[in-house]
Amino acid sequence: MGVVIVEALSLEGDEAAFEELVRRFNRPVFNYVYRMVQNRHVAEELTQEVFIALVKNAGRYYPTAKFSTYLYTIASNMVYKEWAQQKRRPRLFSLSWWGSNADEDDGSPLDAVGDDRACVFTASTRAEVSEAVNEALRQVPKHYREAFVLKRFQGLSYEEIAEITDCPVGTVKSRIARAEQALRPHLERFRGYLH
Amino acid sequence: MNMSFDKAVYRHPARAQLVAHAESLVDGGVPVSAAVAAHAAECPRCAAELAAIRTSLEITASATAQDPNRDLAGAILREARSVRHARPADTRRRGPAALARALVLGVACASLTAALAVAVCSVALREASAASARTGRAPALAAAPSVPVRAEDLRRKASDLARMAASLTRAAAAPKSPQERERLRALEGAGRDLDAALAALDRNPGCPRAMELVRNQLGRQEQRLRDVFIERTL
Repeated sequence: MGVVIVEALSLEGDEAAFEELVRRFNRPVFNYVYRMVQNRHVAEELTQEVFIALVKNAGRYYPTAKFSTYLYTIASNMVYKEWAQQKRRPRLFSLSWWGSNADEDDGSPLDAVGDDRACVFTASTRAEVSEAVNEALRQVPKHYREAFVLKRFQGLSYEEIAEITDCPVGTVKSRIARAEQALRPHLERFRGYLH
Repeated sequence: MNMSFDKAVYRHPARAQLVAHAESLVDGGVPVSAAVAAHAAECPRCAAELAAIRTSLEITASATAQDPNRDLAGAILREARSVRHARPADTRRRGPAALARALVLGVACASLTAALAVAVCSVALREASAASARTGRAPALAAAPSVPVRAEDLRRKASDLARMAASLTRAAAAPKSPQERERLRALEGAGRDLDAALAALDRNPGCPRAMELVRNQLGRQEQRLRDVFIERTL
C-alpha cells in the first residue's frame, strides 16, 4: 500500500492511484474537519487544501507509518491554522454563514417518506442527535475535541492519535475522558432515544 | 462486603480507564480490562459512572456522519492536477542561473538598504549639529530667551521692581478697599520672597538653582505689581 501511495503522490505518478486515494479518504477527512471547525464550507475548503498539501509535500511522505495517520496529521495542522486565522479575523456577520451547518445534500427526513425502507422517526431522531452532538462538540475545548473526534468518529487507535497530536498515549486517553465528561450534560436529554 | 482491603477491586480505576473500558463495551461488546470489569461489578459508584459514560458514547455513536458535496472529490482532483502541472515549471526555474540571479538581487537590495540608512543617519546628524550651533546653548535655556540669565541682570531687574513697589506702596498709604489692601499685602510678601531668593543667590554665586529661584520670584513680583496697579486704576 505504501509504495502505491508514494507512486500516487509522485509528480509523474499514476493519476488513477491518486484518484483512488481521494475517493477513499475525502469523506473521512471532510468529516473530521467538519466536526472540528463546525462549518461545512470551511470544512470542504480545508479538505481540498489537505489533499493539495499532500501533493505539494509528496516528497516528505515515507511509508513507515499508516497513510491515514499522515493524512490526519496534515488535516490537524490545517484545522489549527484555520483556528489561528479565525482568531485574527474580525467577526463579521455573513449571509453565507447563515445555514452553513445545514446539510443541503441530506435533505429533510420527510424526503424519504416514499421509501418503504425509510423510518421517518428514526431518521429525524438521528438528525436531531447528530445536530446535538455537533452542538455539544462546539462546547468542548479544542484539544479534547480533537482526540475525541479522532477516536470516536474516525475510529483511530490511541497510538495513532498520539502520533497525530504529537503527545503521549496517556494524554490522549485523558483528553478523551475529559471530552466525554464535557459532552455528557449536553447529551443527557437523548438518553431516552437509545432504547 | 466481605472483601479484604488489599484486593485490586477496591482501587477505583481512573476516569480514562473507565472510558477506555466503556469504549470497548460500546464498540465490540468485549471488556478491555478484566480488572475494571471486576471492580465495576463490585463498586456501585464506578458501575454508575461506567453506565453514564457508555450512554454518552452510544449517543455520540448514533450521530450520522456528514457527506461532503458530491463534487468535492472532483474539485480536489482538478486542483491537484493543476498543481502537478505547475510544479515542473517551478523546479525548472530553480537552476544555478536562477540561484545566481537571486544572489545578485539579494546583495543589491542589501547594499541599497545600507546606503539609504547611512544617508539618513548622516543627514540627521548634520541637522542636529547645525541646530546646536545656531542656538549655542542648552535647549532649556533656549526656550526662555526673554528672561535674563546673568546674576547681574537678575539683580538689576530686582532693584527696578523694588523701586516700583516702593512707589506704589507710598502712593497707597491708605488703601481704599479691602481688595487693594490684600493686593498690597501680597506684593509685600512677594518682595520678601524675592529678597530671600536674592540672599540665597549671594550666598551661592552662580548656582543655577538659586538663579532659577530668583527668576521665579521676579515673575511673581511682576505679577503682584500688575495686580496692584490694575486694582487701583479700575
